[in-house]
Amino acid sequence: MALLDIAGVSVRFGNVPALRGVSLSVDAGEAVAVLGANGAGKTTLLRAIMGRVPVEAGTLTLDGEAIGDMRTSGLVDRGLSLCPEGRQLFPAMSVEDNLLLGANRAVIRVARARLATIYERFPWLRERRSVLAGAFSGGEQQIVAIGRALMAAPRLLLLDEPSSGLSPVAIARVREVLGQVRETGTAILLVEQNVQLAAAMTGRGYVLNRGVIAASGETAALVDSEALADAYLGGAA
Amino acid sequence: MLQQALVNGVVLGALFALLGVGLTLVYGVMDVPNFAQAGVVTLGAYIMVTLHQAAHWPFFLAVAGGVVAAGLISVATERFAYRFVRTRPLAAPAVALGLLLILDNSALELWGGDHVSLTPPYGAGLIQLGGMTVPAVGVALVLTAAVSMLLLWLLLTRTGIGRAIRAVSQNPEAAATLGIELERQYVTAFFISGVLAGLAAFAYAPTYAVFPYMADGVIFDGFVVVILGGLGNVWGAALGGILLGLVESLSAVYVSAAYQTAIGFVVLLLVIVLRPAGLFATTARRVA
Ligand SMILES: Nc1ncnc2c1ncn2[C@@H]1O[C@H](COP(=O)(O)OP(=O)(O)OP(=O)(O)O)[C@@H](O)[C@H]1O
Ligand SMILES: [Mg+2]
Repeated sequence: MALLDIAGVSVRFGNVPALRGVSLSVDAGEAVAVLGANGAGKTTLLRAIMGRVPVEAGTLTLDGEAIGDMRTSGLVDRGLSLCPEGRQLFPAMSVEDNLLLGANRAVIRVARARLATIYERFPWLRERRSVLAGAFSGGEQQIVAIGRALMAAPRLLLLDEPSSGLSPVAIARVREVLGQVRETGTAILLVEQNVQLAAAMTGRGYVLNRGVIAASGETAALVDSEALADAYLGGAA
Repeated sequence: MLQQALVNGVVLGALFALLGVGLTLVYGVMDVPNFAQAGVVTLGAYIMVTLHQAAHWPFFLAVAGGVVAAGLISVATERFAYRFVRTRPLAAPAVALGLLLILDNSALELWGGDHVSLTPPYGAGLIQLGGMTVPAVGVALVLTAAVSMLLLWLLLTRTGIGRAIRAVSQNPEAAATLGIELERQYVTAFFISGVLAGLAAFAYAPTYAVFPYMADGVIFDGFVVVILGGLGNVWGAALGGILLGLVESLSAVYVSAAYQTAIGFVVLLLVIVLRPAGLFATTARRVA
């Protein structure tokens, strides 16, 4: 049984269908990519999984349990965590406060223990724990955002374009951090436009084109696929 | 003369700060100008008077009862009114004014329009402070404001509850994505703000009088303090309160008492023109 199983999920904003009958799955410990052009519905997909936009049709299950009607808090309790598009840190709060907020569902003793683990794994965060998050560059903020998402101790980490807007050096750093996350066995659902990053981080993937899954398979094969080329050309049309 | 004006200014400023901090907290998390807080002050004061004088509760127990009741009334305003205008920001000021009228008129209906007084055991006491004579109720007001603000600051910066409130004020959707329940933070913020309103009632009812519209004037000063201090800034509200209190009390002495509140308004305009984000502005929107 897959860890996350999505079947026939549709979402619409008013008259605009953002997702149409999307089905995908992620196994425990697996890393899966979703590729697609601007406006394909990638963010909507992750937000739907996280209970942030209402799902019009379809089913979502986590470990066999239906999660379609669950509140975000319940989803976090069950092991889902989203590192959102644009990082969305709390700029006037310290790195440490941002990180602790990632563990807001846990009692403080547990949150502190997770913080110690994160600091051990990413000493860079410990060194900057009292700096305000708003003071960082985009790449640094992305590391904080990933750290914050990990503070929920997720079984499945959802990542929305972690490389977006970053320099090649910063992307390399994000890639390194995600590599470390992979080593811990946390499953990943990675939404990306950067196909090199997606191919490096994930084994399997899906191409999302205007709200529809257009192809799926090994990420490395998808990168050169016609479906992906169509998705980008189609996205521009 | 000057010394007395300074003392009066600090006492007045402590009251403004106490009100302003509650307003700024609610504004921070929910974006509503909570005029109804004045009504919460009024009802809190009447409940204290009733518990003390009619039910014969000991003074400080009656005060505690009134403070808790004020917190609950404030939560009720959120739960049964403000919550429904969250997605309609234009409606918020009208709803806030409507709530103020409802609360004030409830007080009028329940207790009538006569002035009554809340008299603490130390009510007539005078304290000598470095050659000045300060009424004990004024000292109690300043101490109440100082302790409340310190506790609020500790709550906001040192606890998970406070961290969640600050997160919601900075980026509600990001907070919700982390599993923070927004409704719970609204309830918490309104409860705290109501408790602060209750403390304000306790602190200033003995100096002024208890009547249905007792706080409608000072709530205006509370809003000036919010603008002076910068939205969502607790220390800014504290400093802004003292500053406004001093300006008003000095101008009452050296300009004209009739213009006291008007001078506060001039200060507000000057700040809006010269420092639009408040006197103590940081770049980001925040609470703490
Ligand atoms: N809150 C919303 N209200 C209305 N329409 C929306 C909303 N969010 C997204 N959409 C629309 O849904 C579609 C999918 O948007 P989404 O943000 O999911 O795309 P995306 O693949 O994440 O794009 P990008 O690569 O630019 O981040 C777009 O047409 C978008 O305009
Ligand atoms: Mg997106």
